Amino acid sequence: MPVFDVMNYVHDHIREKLSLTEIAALFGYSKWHFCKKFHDFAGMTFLEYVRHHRIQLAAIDILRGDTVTDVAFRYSYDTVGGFNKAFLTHYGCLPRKYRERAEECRLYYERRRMSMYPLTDRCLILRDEAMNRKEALLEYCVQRNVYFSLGRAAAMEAGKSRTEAIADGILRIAESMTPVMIPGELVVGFNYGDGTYGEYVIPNNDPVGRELMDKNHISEADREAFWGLNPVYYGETDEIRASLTTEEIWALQEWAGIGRCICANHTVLGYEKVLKLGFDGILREIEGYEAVNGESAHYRAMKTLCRAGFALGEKYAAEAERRAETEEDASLRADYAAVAAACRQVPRYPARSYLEAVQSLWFAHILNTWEDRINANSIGRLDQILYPYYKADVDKGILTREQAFEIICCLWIKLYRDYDVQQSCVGGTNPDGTSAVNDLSYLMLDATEQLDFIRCLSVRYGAATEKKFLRRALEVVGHVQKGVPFFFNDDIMVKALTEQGISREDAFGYTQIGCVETVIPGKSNPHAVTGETNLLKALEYVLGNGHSLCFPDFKTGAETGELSELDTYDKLYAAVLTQVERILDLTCSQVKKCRDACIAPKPYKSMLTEGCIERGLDFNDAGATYDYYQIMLGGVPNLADSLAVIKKFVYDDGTYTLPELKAILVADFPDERVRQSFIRKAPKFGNDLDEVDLIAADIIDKACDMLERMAETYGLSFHAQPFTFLWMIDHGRTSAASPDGRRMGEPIAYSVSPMQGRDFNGLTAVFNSIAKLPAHRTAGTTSAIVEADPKLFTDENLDIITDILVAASKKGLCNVQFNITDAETLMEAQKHPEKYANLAVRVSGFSQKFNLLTPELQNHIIGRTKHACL
Amino acid sequence: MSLTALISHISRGSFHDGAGIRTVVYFMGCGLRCRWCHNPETFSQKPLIMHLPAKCMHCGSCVEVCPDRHVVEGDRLTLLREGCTLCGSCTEICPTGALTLCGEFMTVEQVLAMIRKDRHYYDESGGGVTLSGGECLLQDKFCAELLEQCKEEGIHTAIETALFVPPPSVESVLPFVDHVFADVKLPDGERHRQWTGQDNTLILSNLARVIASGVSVTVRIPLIPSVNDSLEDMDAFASLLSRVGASDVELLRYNYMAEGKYDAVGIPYVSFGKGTQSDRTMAALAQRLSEGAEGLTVHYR
Repeated sequence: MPVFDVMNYVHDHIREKLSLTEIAALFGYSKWHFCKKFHDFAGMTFLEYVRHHRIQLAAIDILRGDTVTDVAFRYSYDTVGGFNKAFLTHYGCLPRKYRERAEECRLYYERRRMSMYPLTDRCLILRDEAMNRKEALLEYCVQRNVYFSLGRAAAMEAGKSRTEAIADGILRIAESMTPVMIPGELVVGFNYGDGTYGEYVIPNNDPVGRELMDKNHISEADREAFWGLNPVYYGETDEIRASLTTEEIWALQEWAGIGRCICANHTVLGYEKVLKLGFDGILREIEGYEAVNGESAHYRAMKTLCRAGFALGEKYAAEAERRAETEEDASLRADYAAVAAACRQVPRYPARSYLEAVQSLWFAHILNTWEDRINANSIGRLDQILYPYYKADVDKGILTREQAFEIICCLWIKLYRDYDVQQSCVGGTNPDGTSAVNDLSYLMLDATEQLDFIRCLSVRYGAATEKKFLRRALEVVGHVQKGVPFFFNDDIMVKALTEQGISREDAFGYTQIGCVETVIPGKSNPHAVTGETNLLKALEYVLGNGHSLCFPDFKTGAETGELSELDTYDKLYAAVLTQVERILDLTCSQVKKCRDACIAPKPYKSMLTEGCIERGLDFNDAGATYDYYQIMLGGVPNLADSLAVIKKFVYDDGTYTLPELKAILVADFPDERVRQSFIRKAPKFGNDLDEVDLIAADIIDKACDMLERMAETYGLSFHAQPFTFLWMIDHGRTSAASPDGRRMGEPIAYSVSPMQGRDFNGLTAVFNSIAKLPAHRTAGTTSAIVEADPKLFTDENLDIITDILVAASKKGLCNVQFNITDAETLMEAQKHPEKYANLAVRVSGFSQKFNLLTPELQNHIIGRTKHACL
Repeated sequence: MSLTALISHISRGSFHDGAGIRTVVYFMGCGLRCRWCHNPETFSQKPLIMHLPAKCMHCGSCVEVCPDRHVVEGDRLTLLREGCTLCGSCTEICPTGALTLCGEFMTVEQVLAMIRKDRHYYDESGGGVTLSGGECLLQDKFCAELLEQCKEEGIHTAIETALFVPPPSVESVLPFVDHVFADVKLPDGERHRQWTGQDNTLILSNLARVIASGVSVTVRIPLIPSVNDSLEDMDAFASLLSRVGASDVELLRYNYMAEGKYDAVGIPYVSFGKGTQSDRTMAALAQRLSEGAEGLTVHYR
């Protein structure tokens, strides 16, 4: 049933009484079937939807100034009282009050947006289309999947190498896809990545699968071929699993140390190169190196990809020209002509204008996402990449600032359509120490605020950054209230990166992938989220003399002696460090095995990463100038808190012996009084207390030393990254109760944020605690989310918040993300998800719609301490 | 033995008690008993037990260690404060912090150590330390020493005081204070006695003295519904403030959320309403006040 048609029907007949029975019959369905279909699609019942829709339209009339009585009867409410009641339920106030509030709100918005360009009608329409027309996606969602698979399979059958097969797959998409253009778009191109069916699963030949293929206009021959493909192409991990030792498998199963070598879809490539040279220029560069290094599959694949780039541009150019001829509306005709002109030039040839630069960048990005899906493939320093083109056009007088703003909005609507985490970054510091903030940096913040649905934007700042810029970025945090943008401290990051052997010049160019993972754009393969550890497990292994407390059959840890031998705190701490090293070793060895077992070729990433063309090596075969592996260090706050508790209760006060403590943990705190006293009577990370903060700092410091040793052992470069992503839930689920008062199975702390609810000395104390960690050694960045009360970010407090951030950064704070919501709102949203559809919260290195989180994750976020103004 | 003071708590990262980011030190003990005070735990000049029923898990530990002073009926714990020696055994054993001891004797060095932790935030924002309470000047020797030390280290200093202390106490700290927040509750002496337990003569003469000394002063008026928040009250405040030469006034909204704290310290609570003054009321009061006295800057939040 086309639910969309039902919605349109409701919209057209909203002023009438709508009966479920009649409408179900009208669309030819039984009542039950109709209700189910509708609910599956809309996430609410049909009657709820009608109520919702009706009251929203009524509210608009109320705002227009119509009387309550008129509106009530216009929308078929039986009585004014009934209307008032419905209104109260939905909006929490009566219509009259609503009008007053709306007026205040309007004035507020007018004030706050005065200095910004408003969204143009074009952007409003495109934004609405991107946010609300999920239907449109279904029409194209399988194209990448089907054509890529077909192109790749044909190449494999022809006996080509894997890297060529991937390139052929991408070329096939570019040649066969439907060019999707939404009227009004100034930047075109679609990466067909959204939705379940964009990945592997397209139901084989059953009605749903067939309907999808029909919708996507996939030919009968192609769909049969697709369904006939051997699925073996997708599985590459089984052989690696077979090579793992028992300990490695245990570490993996209890989420203590997981090593992968996925090296996929976590990149920021050198898109500037496409802007500057075009694929045509790159093709010539490849041919040049081929002549020197000799012909190879690597070079052949990259050359195929250049041709895929040509095809992509030409396909859209042709479509735009076709539409320009038939379009009757003059302004749309002009849009199509502009798009056609741009696509005739880029990405094949160098971009000559700002619009072409944006278009070229978007095409270059699409090709990257076709290689291994969208996921976290990111853009990088957008303001820096585009500024030369912007400035040239403005100087020539062919572009106004306002037009530039509109084009940014058009690109961002593409980038943040319900897609995954495609990060971009603004601001930063130049290698000569000056601020890199430019006019586009501000325009991009404006676009973020105006579009109000951006999920990933980072801001780089340092000692040279104008306070005005930082203040504006913090203002956007407060206005948007979705946890964007987030903040990275250049002064520390550059130091950390140069310590890892990255040149100073390149270190200043760093940016983020997806969440917070550090990358040198176009020059590095960071192998983000390669190794994932839960260091809290180290304590379990000490108490179990190598055995896990959660899974007693597993002897994942090292033998660090009977508990009776650990008669001083120093001995215990040494044992913990031994286990930390063990966990890191198990993780790094898995990484090494994965790396050796197979090299998943990435021809496109190779083409746009410095080193790969020159050396003739693949991106995943250490071709990049900087090739390193990020090892995530999780559970540090919990481990530090736990050690502080043991120090006090076991070694200083002698309240419990180690075996007694172990018994308490194994039994998951049978006496709640004990748990409470562990929470309350020993210092906790996040309160600016050296006793515990320095333990956390030392653990990270020692882990960095260990990773340096691992680098020698395994011949790979490892970057420490105290970041948990959202796996703090999984790590917690597989961890026994810990002395910090965490119950068995409860989530561990997010990254280096204090354990949720255990920080109570205010914002400055949290920052001081985090600033004590050796961020200058963790090149993968530390990550921290601070929960802040919305009032903290109101206009009168912004100067102070800016000062706090600057002061904390000088002290050593490296990264921070703010979540601006109050617990009441979140709890309310948990109960009534339908009322908070656009409420987004900071989950990990990205923001997500609150409704889409699991209840477990929702509770985790509610449990974090809120920092209000004092 | 070095000088100590009884401190109820130290609050960091405060925005609203002076310029920039501040650390606020709350001293215990006060000569006034303002019926609306939202820090009743600071009335006493000795430590006291705070009881927060919401945190209680009904484990009975306190009854075990001190059966005479703790009575449990159903799921309700009653604390018998009469005769309590503040031995601390119940607060020590209480696992959840439902029973805590409020008030700690701290040395100047201990308080300074806390203040220094946020030094970099003061430097960035022009903030510093604010001594508050209770009445901090009841422990004037300590305050003078602490403030002098802060000045020596280049930390901005402020005090918040009701000025109900002997004049020499005020004078002893003034050389080390950058800014004074002086509370004025009611212009009329008799009503002042009725609502705070004391006459305001001493307060007003201290205020005049402080202003005359040339230190920067903000007069703070806590607005209490139906006690001192009428337009007529503003007129009376205006004439009083011009008499003492005040130039800067801050109106504070009524804090209606102190009931929990009163319960926690076992002092009967008097409510002046379940809400606070609206923006509109505040604007009207501020305007009336500024019209009544020449050269008076009035602000409110």
